[in-house]
Amino acid sequence: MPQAIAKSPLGSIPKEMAALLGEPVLVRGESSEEFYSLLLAIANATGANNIIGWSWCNDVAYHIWEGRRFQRIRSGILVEAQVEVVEELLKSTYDGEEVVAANLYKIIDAKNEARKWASNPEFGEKIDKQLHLRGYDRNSVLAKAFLLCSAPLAQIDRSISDLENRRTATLREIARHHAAMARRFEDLSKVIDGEFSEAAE
Amino acid sequence: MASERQIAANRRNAAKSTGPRSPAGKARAARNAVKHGLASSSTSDIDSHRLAPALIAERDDRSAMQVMAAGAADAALARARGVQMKASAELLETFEKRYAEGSILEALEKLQKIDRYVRRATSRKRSAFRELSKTK
Repeated sequence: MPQAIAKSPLGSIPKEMAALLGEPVLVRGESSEEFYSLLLAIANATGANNIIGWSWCNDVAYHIWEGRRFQRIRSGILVEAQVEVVEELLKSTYDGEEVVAANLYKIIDAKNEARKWASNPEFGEKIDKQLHLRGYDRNSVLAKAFLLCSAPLAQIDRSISDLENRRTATLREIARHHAAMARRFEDLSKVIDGEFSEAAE
Repeated sequence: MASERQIAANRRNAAKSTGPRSPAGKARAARNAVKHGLASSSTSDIDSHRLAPALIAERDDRSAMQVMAAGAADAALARARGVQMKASAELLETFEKRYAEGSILEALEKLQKIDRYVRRATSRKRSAFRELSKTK
């Protein structure tokens, strides 16, 4: 387990629990420290105090983590689709007088400018003005982009919704587990009370 | 069309190729059709036994069967998550390499197929762990 977890303001994951849960399964570029922080926050919030509780918290952390991953992919897809739309619009609205210049623009510059539109806000404004003259704005670009990538977005949305349902179901299991623990303690106190009253008699 | 002689020769040659002979080769060939192994019901002993000692140490009124079922369910979920992670990494790589709706959809479909196993493993774990909580 990374050392940073021990320094977290939220506390730390008990060593034996971390060993039982194993290393988090993450993709390249994702931080295990961030995952542990999330897990710790969930464990603190739900009051995990045994292996079953920690294991449920680990599952909730995975559901949230995977949901975030899907959200990242979703926004990436949408940006790429917008770049594609802007490129096409730039190509179709270019009004260069010379044929050669117009063709060159269509092949090289439109793609670069569309990419810069997405990454550079100042340059983006310049392109927006250019598109505005032709009757397009950011909303129409976004709408066209949605149409372009509606299939993968719908699939990702379904996956996110599935993960949310699973997270809710796991949280219900945590509540059930707490209720079972509470019943056990109640039964235990009945036994102890019974023993004491028998002893007193 | 092949002549009678050629057909006979093909049959003779085919009879010589009867697959792997060594135990290692047979074991390898036995896994030829395995894609990710998540549909298999077998669980490695090491994986299943990982949680068992802690679950028994926590409460001694749990039966060995309950503990093993919970351990196996947890191990199966961890395995499914590992395969799912690889599919997620493939999806991200596809996306980073080149944005193309077709290839992204393909990667998403693969991920969703694996998700079925994750869902099933999650459900099994839920039942097994619920039994552990219930124990008197």
